[in-house]
Amino acid sequence: MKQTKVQERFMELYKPNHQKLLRYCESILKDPVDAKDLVSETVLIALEQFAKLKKETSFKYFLFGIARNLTRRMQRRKKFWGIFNTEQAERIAAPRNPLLNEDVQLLYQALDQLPNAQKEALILFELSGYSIKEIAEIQNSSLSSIKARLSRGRQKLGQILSPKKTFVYE
Amino acid sequence: MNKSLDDLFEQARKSLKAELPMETVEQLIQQKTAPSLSIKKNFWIMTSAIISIVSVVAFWYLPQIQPTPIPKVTSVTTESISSSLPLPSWSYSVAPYAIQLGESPQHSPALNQQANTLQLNKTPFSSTNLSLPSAYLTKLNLPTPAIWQQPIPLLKASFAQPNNKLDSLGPKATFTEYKLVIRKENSEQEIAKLKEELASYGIYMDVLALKYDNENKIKRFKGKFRTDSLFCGTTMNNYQFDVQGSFREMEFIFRVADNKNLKYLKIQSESFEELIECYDDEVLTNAKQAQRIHQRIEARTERVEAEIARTMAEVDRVINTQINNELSELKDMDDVWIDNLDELSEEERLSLMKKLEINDMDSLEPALKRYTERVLTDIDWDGIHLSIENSVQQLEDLDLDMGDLYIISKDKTAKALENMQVEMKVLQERLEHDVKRKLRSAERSQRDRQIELRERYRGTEEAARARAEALERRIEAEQAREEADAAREEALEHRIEARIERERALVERERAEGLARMPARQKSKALKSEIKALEKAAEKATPKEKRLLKEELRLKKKLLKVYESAEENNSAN
Repeated sequence: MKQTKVQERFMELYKPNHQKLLRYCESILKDPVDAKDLVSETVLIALEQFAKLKKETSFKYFLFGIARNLTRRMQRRKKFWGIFNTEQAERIAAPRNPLLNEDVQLLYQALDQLPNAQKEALILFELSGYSIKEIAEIQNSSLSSIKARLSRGRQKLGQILSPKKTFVYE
Repeated sequence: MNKSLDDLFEQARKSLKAELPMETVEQLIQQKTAPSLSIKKNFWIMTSAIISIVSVVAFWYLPQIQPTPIPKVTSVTTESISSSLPLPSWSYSVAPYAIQLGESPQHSPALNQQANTLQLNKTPFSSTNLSLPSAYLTKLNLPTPAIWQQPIPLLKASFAQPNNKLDSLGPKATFTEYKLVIRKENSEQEIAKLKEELASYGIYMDVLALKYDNENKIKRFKGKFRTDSLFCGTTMNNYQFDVQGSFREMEFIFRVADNKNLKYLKIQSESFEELIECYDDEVLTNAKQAQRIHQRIEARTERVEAEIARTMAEVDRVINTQINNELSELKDMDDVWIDNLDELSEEERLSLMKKLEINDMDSLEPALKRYTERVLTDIDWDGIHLSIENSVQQLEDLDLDMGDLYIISKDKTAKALENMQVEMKVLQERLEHDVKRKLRSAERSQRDRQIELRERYRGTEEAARARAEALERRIEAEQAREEADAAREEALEHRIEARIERERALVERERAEGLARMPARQKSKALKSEIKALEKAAEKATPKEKRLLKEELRLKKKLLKVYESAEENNSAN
């Protein structure tokens, strides 16, 4: 009985964040299948640890914290797998929508060059669609710092993606 | 840039294709709530712990559930190799087992005795008859005590056939085994027998402790082996054993190799056994090597002796030749002496010759003495003394002079040193003064440099500030100019539009009144010529002027259209 109540409460809190979390995971991992796995795992861990959550207001921070840690773990593990990933290579060699994919890939590459906090803030704001206030909750920071992160991140992205910076081959 | 970034983000948003329905998540959560292995973690831990404890207890107690209890055995065996190990040496003389390395190991007295004994006791050791005297009777000349003639099956050959049990212990595959059993009833005799038996192999046993319990069982047996035999391994020297427990009997088993050497000694009882390797093949090979070396050294010694004899003969020969040479030289000297005598006065020579002839060589000595005395009296001894005294005096004077010179030089050196010290002090003071002055000047220059740098920095700062201000001012002026240009353009546009409006109103009014002061055709002609002139001017104009001219041209063309339409209306009317 108690368990079902906890479940219901968890689902209530989780539902509004589901799509956003999925988007966040996909943009971080750049792979829809991995993103699904990551979301499932995050949900399971979050449910398991839900009892430890003291304030429900910090649910987003709790949820995204788990996702963040799992992502780091996955990326750490990926280092130990083979250097050459055939699937990725094929995707790069023959993308479905070349123009779109190229631009998006460039954007992701540029995002990878940003500091983690800035990158996360930008993804949450631009791709997941969270408001600045919500991002502040997720990142456990003040509004002004989130604003600063967003603006600096955009500036840096602009610098990285500007044509002056691109390499010209003659 | 922001626009392009927004586009990029929009593209990225569109590219996100992952879909995970909420139902899947709910299913996941429901599956999660079902009991899993991890939830039953504690149960598994507890179960495995209980099973392991039960199995440990079972293994612990099972061996103890036996029909007869096994007495607790504790044995301590210590092996210490003392510095007095029986190393192979040329003259190893420990009676009665002294051996010469020139002989083979089988020729050693102890081993010979053992060989004899074994040969003599061949029949008693056969498995068919075990009631014959033991190998204790190692010395043939000793009378056998009556007690040993009785059938006592103590030291018996348990295996008449070669024993292959210890094949893995060494290259020798065949051994003959003898057993000696010690009990309380016969312990003294048996121990004596054991000692004697071991002694025949060059091993001596000391019993340090032998205790029995109430049931006449051996409680403790402590002993020590020593050996002076070269053919026993070093393990047997100072080998100590200490067996504690409760034993009805204790067996000492001898395993003898084909060459009649004791190879292994085994101490065993119901629940205890200890095997000691006694015979060392390595020692034997070492002994053989030593023997070979000894022979080689002997051969070399003989060679050296022969060499010495030859050398002595050579030396004798050389000395003899030298003596002969010296004698011949002496003879020559005699001849010279005789020639010298010729130079003496005739009378003296004659007298001497006579004396020589008469008194032979013995009378020559006093004659020579007299001659030398006579010759020595002619020497001016006073003069020599005088000259010596003079030279001594001169030497003393020289010494005095030298002393004076030394004192003078010492004084001068001291003075020079003093002067040098004074000079050094002065120089030091001057140096200190210079250093201080230089330091002061360096500090001053540093301070000046700092001030200069500060001023320069201040100057550059001021210049930079001024430059920034000028730049700002210039930017502001440019902005103002741009604003003015924009305002002017706007005003021009307004003006042109107003004019167009005015013209249009005029045309309308003219048309309405039907009174055209100037025919529309003429106006359009004039406008066309104006447009042409403007187009020409635009070709040569600056980009800014060009823009303005273009705008004017557009308006004029509009106006032209208006005139043309008016003209058409007029013609239609």
